[in-house]
Amino acid sequence: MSEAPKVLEFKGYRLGFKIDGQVCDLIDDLSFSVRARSVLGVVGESGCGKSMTALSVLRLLPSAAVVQGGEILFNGENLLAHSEARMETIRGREISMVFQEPMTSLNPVHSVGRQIGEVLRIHRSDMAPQERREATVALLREVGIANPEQRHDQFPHQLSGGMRQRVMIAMAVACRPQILLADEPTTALDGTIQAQVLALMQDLKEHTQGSIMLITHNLGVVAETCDEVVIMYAGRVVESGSVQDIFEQPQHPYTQGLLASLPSLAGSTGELYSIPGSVPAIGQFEPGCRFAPRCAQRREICSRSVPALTAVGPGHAVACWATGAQEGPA
Amino acid sequence: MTALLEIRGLKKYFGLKKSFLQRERGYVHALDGIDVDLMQGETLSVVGESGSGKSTLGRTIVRLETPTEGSVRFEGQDISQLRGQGAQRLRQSVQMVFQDPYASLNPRLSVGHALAEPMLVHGKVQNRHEAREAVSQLLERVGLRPEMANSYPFAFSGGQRQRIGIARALSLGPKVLICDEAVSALDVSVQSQILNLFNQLKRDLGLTYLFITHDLAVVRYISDRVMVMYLGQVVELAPRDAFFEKRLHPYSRALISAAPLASTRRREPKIILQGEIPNAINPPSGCRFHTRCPQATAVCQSVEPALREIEPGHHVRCHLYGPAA
Amino acid sequence: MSGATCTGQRPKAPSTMFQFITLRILKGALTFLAAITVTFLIVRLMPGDPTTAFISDSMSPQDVAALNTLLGLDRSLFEQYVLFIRNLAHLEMGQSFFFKEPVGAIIVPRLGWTLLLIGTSLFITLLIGIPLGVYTARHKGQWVDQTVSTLIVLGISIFIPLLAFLLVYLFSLTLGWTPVGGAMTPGIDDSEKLADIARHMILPTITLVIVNLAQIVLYTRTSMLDVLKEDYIRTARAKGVSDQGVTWGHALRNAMIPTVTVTGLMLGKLVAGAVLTETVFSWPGLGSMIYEAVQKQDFPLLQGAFIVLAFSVILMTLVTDLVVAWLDPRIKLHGGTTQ
Repeated sequence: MSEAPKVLEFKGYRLGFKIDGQVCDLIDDLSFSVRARSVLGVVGESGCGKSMTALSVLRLLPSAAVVQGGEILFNGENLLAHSEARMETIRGREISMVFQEPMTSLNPVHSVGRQIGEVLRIHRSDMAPQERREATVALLREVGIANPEQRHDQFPHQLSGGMRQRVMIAMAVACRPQILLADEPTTALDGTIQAQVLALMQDLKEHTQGSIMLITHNLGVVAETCDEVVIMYAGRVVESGSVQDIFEQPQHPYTQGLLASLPSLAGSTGELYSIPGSVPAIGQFEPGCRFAPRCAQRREICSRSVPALTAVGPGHAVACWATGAQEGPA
Repeated sequence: MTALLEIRGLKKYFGLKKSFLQRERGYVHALDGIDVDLMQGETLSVVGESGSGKSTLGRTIVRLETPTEGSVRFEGQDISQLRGQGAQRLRQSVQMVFQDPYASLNPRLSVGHALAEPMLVHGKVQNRHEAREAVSQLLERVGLRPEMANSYPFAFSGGQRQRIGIARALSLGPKVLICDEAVSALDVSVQSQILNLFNQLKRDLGLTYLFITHDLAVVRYISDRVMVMYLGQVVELAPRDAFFEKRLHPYSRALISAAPLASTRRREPKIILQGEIPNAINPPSGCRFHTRCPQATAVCQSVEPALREIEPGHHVRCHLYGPAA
Repeated sequence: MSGATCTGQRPKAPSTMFQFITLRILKGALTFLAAITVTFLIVRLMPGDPTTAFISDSMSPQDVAALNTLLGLDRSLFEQYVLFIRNLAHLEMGQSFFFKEPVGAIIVPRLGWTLLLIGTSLFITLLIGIPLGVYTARHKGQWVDQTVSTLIVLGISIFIPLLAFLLVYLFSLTLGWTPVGGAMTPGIDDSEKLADIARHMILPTITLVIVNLAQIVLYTRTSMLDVLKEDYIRTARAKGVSDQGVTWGHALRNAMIPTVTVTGLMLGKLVAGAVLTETVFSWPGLGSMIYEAVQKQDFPLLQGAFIVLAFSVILMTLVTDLVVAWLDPRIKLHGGTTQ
């Protein structure tokens, strides 16, 4: 798995936010990659910057966001250096995105078929309208929507949440992109529907041979669908590795804390562990390690100096003075 | 154990009248015949997906909705038709904690004011001085500092606001708390704090909980008994361990299977249900789950199964366990 | 957690487009009936002799007799009502005190002049206003937007007669480019009639355009800004749709919905709301007629004007509803509720 080529790579990416005239840092020194034919989970809680990370790839950031440095490489090319026109050819064709809220992410006044067909119209201008319609119906069938011929001409409000999400997925895979960015794609869906949609995404990934970058806060979804994981806290990567590394041998105190605080479907019912304190808001980060204020293994150096992401095993890296392998200045 | 709440044959239909000139189009069968008791001191979890009616159940019990049919008895007294003064008095005993910590607090009231208000209205405290004392105690009980009474909701995080919401619910000294997805909007690290708080409060104050949620891991952690709802009906009701071990109803099995497990150990293949959740306006004939059930038979399509007690305390609504099975 | 229930078995088919239109027209007709019934009742149930609303001292005895028969002023209330409706169907609304002619005959041509004026001005307003609103929304904060926003405030607050007088003073009296008033030059050749009317229409049209443009641009801009923040716009961009494509293909249709509603209401009121403009420019339309009728206490004429006004407002609201239903598929198929 670590042999597969890197499709997407973040290198030292930094992003800030304009708040009340000032630019506050959020994402700092983000470095990780997504390999071909694999699923990478980007996990974190609110405010950690995971959604912004995904939006950064396609350069769809809100106007208050300010790119402060670093690179995002897609097959070797830096996306941050591309023109808007070049990005428009990449969006929907080589890199696609699926969003969280199926209820509001589709245009209410266009039919479902038209919205899917639009992707083909833009990126496959060689297709004739009739061909396009057939391809769209085929896509609807591919994502598991019954009666695709009828559904093609229906409007989003006539579909359930699960179906709308399938339509979003159909739009995203229409051109067989190399990588699919999925921002909390099933969070707003019921449990049984979530299982359907996740299974669909995995199926599609298998037979289109693409990769998925899955943004979520749900560790269960990560454990069941991802190959590799990146844990983010307050805009930084704190741990990365394979899904086995993260769940079986978590190294970072935050990761360990998260896993310990989950009520488990499997059983024990003693008092749940909870990480003291709460996630800092943007603009209120401490110098040094941003998790230090809440960390049980905090040392003096943690509040002064930012730990770098260092390897603790093959493919497994941690950014921590206490548990990482690096020797910091005393 | 005494039953604090006894619900019999509870139905709630919402009419779909369109406009002045159009006839009624039908009803949303939000609750279609619920029979259940809430025993003192227990935590009963109510699990279900969209359209199950679990939220409507909670709202009907606290009289935010009026039942269409059936009865709800609290401590022996029928509360299903209470209005005005009577409903007010009920609120002293049965309170609700809501899902969205950002929407359920009035942004223009200081925390202290918001907490004091119900106490003053119901006469639990006589003047502002007593109110301030009581508010400080409440805040400490939910793990916040008394000085926070002077701040406004926007100054607090989601987890803190939820604590304030819980404090508000506790301000009248209720016996029953109905928690409607009270931890669903919270981050993982905050959720565990609030769940711990709920457990602690239950021990300290002898509360009884009706815990409405869709998250089965939370159900496993916090419940004494579990009730599964589907399209307005109860399909399974059992003590927690029996529920998770036996998983009698096919829907329960699918729900448990669908819940993502945060572990890399080997797991059973997932049960993926086919199709969508049906419309509560026109529920399927016979057993409402038959359209998606992997084990449906001919009788399931035409005959609605009754809720039967298969083992002591374990009720299932399914032909697989009927007398004919 | 989504609270919506899903498709599956639907209830009996809700309105198709045809049913929707029919129902809507029916409702409009009922509203109109209610409006004219109120008109009918007000006059006859007020204290005093109702005949003074229809018969003035200056009328000849023959006219008085004719009106009595026509309006049935000596019959029962119900019979009068029936006559009233029947007369209305023939556009028979009594006789004007001042002009001593049937009200219907007076109103119709004046209505025509008003429609010409407001129709033209509305067309121009929309032609300029909508693109301007879209442009300023897309370039929010830049100098064009800021200039336009200031002008909008001026346009909304300006006092119409003041604007009208200024225009007349500048262009007609000082520069002599445009006529001072009226709709036509008397005694003009038929071949030049069209050009003549057009020349007379310039200033009143400009006045109305300036006033209404402000509202249209404001609504379009606000509505566009709201729509551009929606999630589905982000989805469109994620698909690779260009900025132009997003604006015209995705955002506009959604943004138009409130604008159409506002335009419809505006149009409905404009029929009589152009009173100030028409009066200043002596434009022979319904507005100036109302002004004169009020001054002369010409009740039959006013009643006729009111009925026409009610009809136009109801008609415009109806048309607006239908256009919005065409733009927004959520409305026609579910009678207003969303899934």
